[in-house]
Amino acid sequence: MSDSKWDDMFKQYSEFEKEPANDRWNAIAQELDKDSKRRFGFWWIFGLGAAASSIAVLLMFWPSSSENAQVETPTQQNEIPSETAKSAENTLVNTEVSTTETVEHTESLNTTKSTETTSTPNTQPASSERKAAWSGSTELSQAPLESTEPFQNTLSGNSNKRTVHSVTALNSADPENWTYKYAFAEAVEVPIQHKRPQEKIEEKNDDSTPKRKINPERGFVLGIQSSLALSNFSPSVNAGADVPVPFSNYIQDNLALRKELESGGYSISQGLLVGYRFNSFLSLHTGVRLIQTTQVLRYSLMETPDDPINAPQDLPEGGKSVSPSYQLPNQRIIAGNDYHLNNKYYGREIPLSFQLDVKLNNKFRLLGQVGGSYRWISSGILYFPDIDNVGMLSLNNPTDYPGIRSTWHTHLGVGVSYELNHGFRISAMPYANMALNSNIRFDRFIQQRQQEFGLNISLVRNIQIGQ
Amino acid sequence: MTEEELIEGCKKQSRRHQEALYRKYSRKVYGACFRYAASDAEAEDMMQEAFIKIFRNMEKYKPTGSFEAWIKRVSINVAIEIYRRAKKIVYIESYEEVKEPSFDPHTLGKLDADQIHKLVNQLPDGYRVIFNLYAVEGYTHVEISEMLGIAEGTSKSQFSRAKAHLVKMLEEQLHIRKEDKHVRF
Repeated sequence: MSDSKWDDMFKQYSEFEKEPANDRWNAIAQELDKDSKRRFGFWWIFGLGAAASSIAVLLMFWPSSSENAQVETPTQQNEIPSETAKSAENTLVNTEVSTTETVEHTESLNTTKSTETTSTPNTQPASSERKAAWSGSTELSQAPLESTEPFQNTLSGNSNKRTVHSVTALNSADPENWTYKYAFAEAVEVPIQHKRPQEKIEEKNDDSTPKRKINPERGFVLGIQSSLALSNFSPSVNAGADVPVPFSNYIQDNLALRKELESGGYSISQGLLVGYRFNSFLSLHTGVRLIQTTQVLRYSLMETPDDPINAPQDLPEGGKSVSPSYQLPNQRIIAGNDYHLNNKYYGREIPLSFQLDVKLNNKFRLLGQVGGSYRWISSGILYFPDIDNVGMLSLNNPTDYPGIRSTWHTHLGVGVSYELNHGFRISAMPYANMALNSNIRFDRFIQQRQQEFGLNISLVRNIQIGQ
Repeated sequence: MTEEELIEGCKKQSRRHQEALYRKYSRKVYGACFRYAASDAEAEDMMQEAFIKIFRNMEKYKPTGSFEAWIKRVSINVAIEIYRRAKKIVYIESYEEVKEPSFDPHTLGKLDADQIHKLVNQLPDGYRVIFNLYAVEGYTHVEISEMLGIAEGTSKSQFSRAKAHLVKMLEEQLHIRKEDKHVRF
């Protein structure tokens, strides 16, 4: 009998319809309701961690930016815009100050260190008449002003010199309140031989004061608030290794069966990371890690007797173990064999994480870390079951790798660090890591997201830059 | 409510749209599951699981193809999956050709869908799945081999055995009918 006649006969059967029982929809709806409740799952842990971290970041930045704003205030008050200075040409300036500080500029305006700051109590009459000269030239005097040199007091504008000075109220002797903001203004009839008291210079070099002055022209500005200038540029180099032990794979299909047949294997990774410390509490870390992850699959297929028609439902298990995976014959599951496969991924990962750092005592610090990472697989020996659980995707040839796709991860960790000696610390941090998307590209095959618990051991070296 | 609205609603997990879609396609899905199931209860379980899978994976549906065909495909996959989960079906690698019995196709043409179902339903599980996939759904042996993870030859031989088994059953039925007639006359 030809197949075409069979086709004709069974075509009508393909459109076969039948009314199901009435209560089936209720059962489906109940199952879907359970689904929506399960959606929270593991995410609340990461959500909580991210929220806590965000709040901590805000709390740390807020007072920091306020302090900086206070420091900048006198600068803004004392700043004389160049346009204003130009417009003040040939006019007399009558300024009353109780104390005046002048800044003598020599060669460079780029660094505060090249500027000599002097100050003396005001020796001039408050009502002294001062004349200003403005040459209109943009060039600066290359020679330092002599302490006895009179100010360019002429209206002729024949001088190329421009006196650089800054006026700061010295009602506070604290050098922290002094500013190095330059103003280019007309000459002010104030003696220049003001010398800063020696003891104040020493006070500035004291360890109790910040080692570097805040300078808006230098350092990092986050862009959150323009007034926020970071004073502690102290990156750290983090060389360490991770030993994640995947506790499960979140499989999206055939969940029950997958849990029975699959499990996470060992993983190792090692990397080099650099961190940037915003302040004593918060730092940002990134770098690159090399990873190797394994996944264990166990498949047992039963062997049938010769006459499958009369075969009993419960067949004895048979076959032999085939391990490792490259011995899998013909890349096909064959009845009667017990497969024990180790999927192996080799790839790289770029993590980016914020780390909170709380000092417990002189040696120990408590660490909290939250962040994400991008992981891509470069090679592997992989097998994945078909979504129907009857086929197998085999990826052990480089041309097959497009079947694997890169994944985004989020992680949360809490640990401690111990200071070995000056500049070196060792840290141990247990962490949880979860993939945000499946690493299997083809919808046809099982979609899975890795979940890992791991331990990170790192050696950290702090480097201070710019002191 | 149009089919597009139903699909969009289901993608947003709207229970109202899901129920409307269920009402619209439940007969077809149940019919498809019924072909693979050994009993009414098993068919209903298959249908339930199929709809849950449909709703969960609605995002994966691409409008380029027929929605009904996609639903049917999911239902068939669920049926196969259930059998595999229960380890009811085992296919062995076999390339043995089975001789097909000669049979008058006009006799089969007189059977309606219910009679065909009863007949096919008597096939063993393994035969029934491959027979349905090939003769009813219209998949090729290559496609079936990919779906079930078996060799193409295995699919062919299983189908031949199924067909032989089916013809044998038909012949027995007809023989019984003839005997009945003989007794009457």
